[in-house]
Amino acid sequence: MATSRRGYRYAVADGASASAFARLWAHLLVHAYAGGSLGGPTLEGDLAPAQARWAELVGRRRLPWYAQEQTRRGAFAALVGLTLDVDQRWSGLAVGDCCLFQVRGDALVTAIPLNDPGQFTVRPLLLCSRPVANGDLRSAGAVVTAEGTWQPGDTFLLMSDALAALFLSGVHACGDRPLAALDFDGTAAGFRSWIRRSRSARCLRNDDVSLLWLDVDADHRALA
Amino acid sequence: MAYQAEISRSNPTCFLFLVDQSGSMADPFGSSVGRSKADELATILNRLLASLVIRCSKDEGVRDYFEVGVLGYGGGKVAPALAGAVANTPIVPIGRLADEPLRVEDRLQKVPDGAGGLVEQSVKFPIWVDPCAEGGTPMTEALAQGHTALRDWVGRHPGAFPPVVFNITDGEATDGDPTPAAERLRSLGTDDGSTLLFNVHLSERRAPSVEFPNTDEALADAFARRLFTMSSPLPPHLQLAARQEGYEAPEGSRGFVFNADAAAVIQFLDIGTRPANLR
Repeated sequence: MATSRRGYRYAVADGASASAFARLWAHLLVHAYAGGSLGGPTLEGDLAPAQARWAELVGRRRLPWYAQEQTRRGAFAALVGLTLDVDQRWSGLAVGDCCLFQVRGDALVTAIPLNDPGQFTVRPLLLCSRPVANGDLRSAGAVVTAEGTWQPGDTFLLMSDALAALFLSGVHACGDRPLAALDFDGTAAGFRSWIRRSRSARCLRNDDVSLLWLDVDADHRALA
Repeated sequence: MAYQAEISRSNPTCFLFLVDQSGSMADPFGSSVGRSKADELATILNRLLASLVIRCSKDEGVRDYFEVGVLGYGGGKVAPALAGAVANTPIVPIGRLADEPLRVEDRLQKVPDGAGGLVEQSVKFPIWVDPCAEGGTPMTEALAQGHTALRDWVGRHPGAFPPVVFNITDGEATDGDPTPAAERLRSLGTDDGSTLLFNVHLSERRAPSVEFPNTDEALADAFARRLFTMSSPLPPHLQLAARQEGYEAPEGSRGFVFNADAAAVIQFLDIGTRPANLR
């Protein structure tokens, strides 16, 4: 999360564990978005400093052949970012299967880039730490942007893929109260317990989960 | 329901490759000019093993999600075909395989340049299996030795995703009907299902291939029909994977390809080694 005079920026990134140093890449992506240096129209070029930093940090290490080979291919990560402006407008950016949701009252008013649990696939297009691998993202429709307005009382949710799929399944099941699909008490301990239960019940894929829950209060502040 | 077990470091699965190393493997492979079936198959296997290693490679190292074995059959014998420090070991954890190739070569590979073209790039290419082509085709004995290796393995991993065996050959067995040995191999199982036996027939002609059939009607001769009979039906996740790659893969499809060229072998092995539920 980062703040500026014009507003607040939030991001969640999910590194693909099948790629090398994906955690580092996801970390760099979140910082780049929160720092205001990633924009939808210029995303591929905007990534250059983060890509250079990734290559620099990885290049310092002595690696076995398989890690060298993975590094040559690059790290991959999904990214979702949200910018809340003080003039009650918001903009979102998503690549891959991390999702942004806006809930107003009893309605899910925004869901990007996916809005149905059936849309989550095994091989989403992701942002790569090697520029060459990002060449087809835009033409494939994988760079998704959206914008809108927010009101006090709105809730924004940023989620990694497995949790987003579970959330959308819950919304489809109980559409009149979207937030009821997040069946925990709002505490970190309650969240962990709910995740464990959901995995045990095989409702949730056994994957890393991240949730950023933002309630915009009456003073036009976003409370994470 | 079978073939659902989670694959993890504490509950790995096993891939066993039975590789024909008979004299006919020295013949050219389909449309490949100047490359024998043995040469091509060694390259394909080394690339596949590297790909399996890379799939298991995380920031902290290689996780032992898989155990891997390669048995070669030809020259009147059946023997482990992995070279280097893991030679003579029937089945090894993938992490050990990663750390102990025979050698690592630098090879040039054409990769996309991001602007619609291709550019040559040096890639690391580990070698575990060298080409070999000699003598007859003791496929029945290879299936029997595979059974011996996997009987021990499933005994030690009763809750695992069952082993997947790939039998890759260009000709008929010279040591009797392999069908009973194949049945015994497939009868080995874990709590999650029976061992899967998939057969790959290599072509030296430019003939149409038959991929993932659910009937032997399109198969030309008794040899092809025997390989079809020996092959396991695809479990649902592999049937889906085959369909995603553009194959028809109808209900009842078997893990079998006849008259495969190099590209078909690569794709078949890629599909067959996709895990259902990798943690």
